[in-house]
Amino acid sequence: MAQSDVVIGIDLGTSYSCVAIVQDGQPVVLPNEWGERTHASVVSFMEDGRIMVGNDAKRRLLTHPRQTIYSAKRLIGRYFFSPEVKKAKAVAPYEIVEGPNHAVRLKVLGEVLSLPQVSALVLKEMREVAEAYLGHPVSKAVLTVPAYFNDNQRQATADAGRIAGLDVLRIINEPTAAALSYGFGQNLNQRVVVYDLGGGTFDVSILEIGQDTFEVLATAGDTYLGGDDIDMRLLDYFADMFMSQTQINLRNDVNALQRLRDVAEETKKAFSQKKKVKVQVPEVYTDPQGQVHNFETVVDHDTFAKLTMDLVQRTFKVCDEAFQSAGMSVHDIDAVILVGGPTRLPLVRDSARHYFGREPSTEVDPDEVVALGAAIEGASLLDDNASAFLLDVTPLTLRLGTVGGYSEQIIPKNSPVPIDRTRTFTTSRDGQERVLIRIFQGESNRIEQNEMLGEFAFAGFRVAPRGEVQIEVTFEIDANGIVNVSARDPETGQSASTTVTLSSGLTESEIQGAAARVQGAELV
Amino acid sequence: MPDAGVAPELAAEIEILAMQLDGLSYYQVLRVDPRASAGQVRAAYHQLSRQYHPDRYFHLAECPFKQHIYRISKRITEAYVVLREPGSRAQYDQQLGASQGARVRYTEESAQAQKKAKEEVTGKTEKGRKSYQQGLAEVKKQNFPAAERAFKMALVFEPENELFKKALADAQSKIKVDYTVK
Repeated sequence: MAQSDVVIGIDLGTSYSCVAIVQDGQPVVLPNEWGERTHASVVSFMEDGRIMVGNDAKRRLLTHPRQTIYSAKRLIGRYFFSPEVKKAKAVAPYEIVEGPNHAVRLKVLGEVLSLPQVSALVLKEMREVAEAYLGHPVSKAVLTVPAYFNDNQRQATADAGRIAGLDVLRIINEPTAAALSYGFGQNLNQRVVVYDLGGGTFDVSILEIGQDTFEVLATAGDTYLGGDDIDMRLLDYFADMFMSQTQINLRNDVNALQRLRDVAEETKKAFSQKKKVKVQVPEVYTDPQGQVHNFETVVDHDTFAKLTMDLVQRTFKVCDEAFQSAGMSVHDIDAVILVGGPTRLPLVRDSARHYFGREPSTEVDPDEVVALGAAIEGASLLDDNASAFLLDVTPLTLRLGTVGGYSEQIIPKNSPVPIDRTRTFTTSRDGQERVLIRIFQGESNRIEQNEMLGEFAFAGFRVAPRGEVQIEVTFEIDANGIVNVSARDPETGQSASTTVTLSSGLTESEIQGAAARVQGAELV
Repeated sequence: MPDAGVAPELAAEIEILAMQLDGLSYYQVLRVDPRASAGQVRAAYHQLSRQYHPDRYFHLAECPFKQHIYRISKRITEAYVVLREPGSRAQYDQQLGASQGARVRYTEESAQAQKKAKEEVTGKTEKGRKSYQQGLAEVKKQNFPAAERAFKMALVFEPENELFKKALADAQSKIKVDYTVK
């Protein structure tokens, strides 16, 4: 295989990322020089301009919390006013600020950064891991996103790929990638459910695998539910306990809070193996009088379950939704695939076993399967004998804003992609030169309960009395799940110019500027 | 050569199919009988997806062939989406029969939604609409008892019409009653 034909598959996770390729027909994860196979999606900025990414950067969370960005994926492609951003602002030690058009920006060491720029640094690190392993440059990649990501989040991820200088061949959904890795080359005829509980997001997809065809029947998810939330519950538990013991609120101390977060994550992970976890945080706080406080406790499994059970239960509500959309029940399923670090927890595994009524498959590694699937898709795309066909769906209903704050459905959720729909619009004023439409994604008739994707202006058609000009607008969702809008005059066949006048995304010049900075940055 | 890497026979076949596409019914697109079962529709979708999936030709440079494939695959998906749901399939069959095959693409929900909205404003039945309009005319004249009778009449024809119910309630609330019955 020519070097230029190597496609890396990158699982860009909330907490950890992973990179894989297909080598001699086999998908393999590429480790870094220390043998690490997954890499913390953490970016730490240093005063001298150098940037650290990965597991080393994660260690700096404790020492440099204000300039070390974690869980950027929870913010990417969101509006500043969204409840998720408010939640993140309440707990993040780094500074979250508002950018143009209600976008989210981060302020680190006086510099304002976009979320795609931060994610691009993680992608750059993954690319460098692959290049170091292979000994030659790579540029082509397949990226994965949560299946329930909306168009804004997908666009922002695609922007991150461009900023990192990658030629992103395709963006695929994480559960679909997992199913691909599970079923590729196995000649299966099965219905499978992928339960993907990651660091920040939860997805469930129901697929029908027919040999080389992977058809997603339905998908559902929650883009703000994951291992991070489990950590938060433990953190709150510790902080409350410390408060009742000492009357000191550790939430007001960035460094102490970061220590607790770290300990909370370790405690959660320990529950994958243990029934009881001893927690020790020496010198967690030094009070103004110079007295040093330690924190110690023991968490048993019952307490852990009590603290987090409602989060786990939420995932099964989402599963109910997916089964309902697919018109199926758990009895129609042949296999259950668990993906994501938190699925290592007995609490999650046992609940999943109970809900699905069967033993989950143990054939896949929950941390690596998504990257492996992305690598398989990449290799398949460049192969002129493509060996796997993904028939994925759009997770959310595409809507058009109409009068009085209402919206009208254009493409229903769980429609296979790529797909398009055409609507005809008529001018409502004499001599009208421009038609403005707003599009949304979501499941409510009311526009404010949906995510706004953008405002599109069409111009360049005939100017005539009202009602005489028709504009045919085509709404397309491509194989990446990304929405494209185009318009034409059906009479003349001439296409109208389309401008996005409002969107949370980056402008072309912002992407170019960020690309120059990211690609020139030195990662240590 | 614009379609590098494609066998000439295949290129010709795809070009013809792309040209014919707008004249084909969804059944013709999926190459199934109009009486095909849901299972047969899905099997056809899988079979054709293998053949016309754009990813199959992803490795080719941008060319008219690729654009044709993309259009064909999107139409295959559209056909599958409409035919897999019994509701939309029945509506499509009706539309196809009524237009004698002249309109082969599923009419957007928009048209139906607009029709429904219009029905809600003016009524579904001729008699209901007429009584409702009469009631509105009486409201204008401040003759609320007459309006009440007209709206009640409208509801005889369309007992479920929320608009009529609301108009009736409004008219009734305006009627001044100066006696009570014991």
